[in-house]
Amino acid sequence: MDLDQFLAAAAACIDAYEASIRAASDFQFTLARALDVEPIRSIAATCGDLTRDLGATAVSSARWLLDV
Amino acid sequence: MTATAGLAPAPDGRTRLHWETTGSGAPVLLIHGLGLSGGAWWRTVPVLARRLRVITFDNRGTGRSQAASLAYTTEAMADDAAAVLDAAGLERVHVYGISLGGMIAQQLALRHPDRVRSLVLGATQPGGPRARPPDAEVLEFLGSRLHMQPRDAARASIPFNYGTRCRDEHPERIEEDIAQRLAHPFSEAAYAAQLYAGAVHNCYGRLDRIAVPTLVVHGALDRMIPVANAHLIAGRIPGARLRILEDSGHLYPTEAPEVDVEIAAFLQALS
Repeated sequence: MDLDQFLAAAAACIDAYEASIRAASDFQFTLARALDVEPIRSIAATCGDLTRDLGATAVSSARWLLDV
Repeated sequence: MTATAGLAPAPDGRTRLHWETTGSGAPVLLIHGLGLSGGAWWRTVPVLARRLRVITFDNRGTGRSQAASLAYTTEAMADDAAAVLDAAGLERVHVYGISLGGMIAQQLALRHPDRVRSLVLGATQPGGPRARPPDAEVLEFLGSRLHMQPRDAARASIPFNYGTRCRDEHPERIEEDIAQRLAHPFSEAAYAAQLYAGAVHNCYGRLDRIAVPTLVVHGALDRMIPVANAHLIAGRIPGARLRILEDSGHLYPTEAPEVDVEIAAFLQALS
């Protein structure tokens, strides 16, 4: 595997990770909206925020390091 | 012209985004930058609203919007923009973002490509290791800005936001901007959270996936976000057009307001 192939594979992995983060945070937000009961709603919304924003930071860092 | 307004719920169900629409025609969503509310588009809205339906909103943490999260990302703020479109009943729109708003617009085009008809990316940067950071003096200001009073911060930002020609020839425009800005002050926490969003923004490697007509606009004398970033973005998005404003700095809509007419023409030609 040459460097270009490695970077393409790494970019694909990061894309897949990003898609999984998005699916997880969307699920938590859907749960928060559906379960309109406190504190479940706030906990689910906070978990969704953290999943999305920490995940986005990790994905951004990985893309920055690999320049992909 | 008619204007309507509302509060859009963001995906988390807790963040509420104040939005307004003005005019009629093909819709264009405007996204403003660091710490500024939708009202900061006050020069641009009347020009675009002659032929277009203009939607502005307050980014989370600014103006009349409320946010519950401690840290923001451009991903979250792009999802906010999509929520505003849902609330306004709009499926697909032109999107014009400036500065941090341009970063959010990039994310919106990548995360919600079916919602974006065209892009105008003003005074913004793509993120990633190739992006050109501002000079050390600007970085120091952005850090110290956190602890300044709004009025002092607005004054201290002038050399970084405006080119010398505007400062010499049109100081009244700068005063108008400051008055608008002070009408909608924002919290230190929101500023820090938005600063974080800009710092971790990174779309460069994926900009070639953007498949809508794109216009990149940038002031050649921009110190906040150096003009090299406009060349990076325009070189990466297929078919993107680049418009450099020679005598302008970061807040070019104040320094070269005539560019709003060009942007309106670009959007209208696609409508």
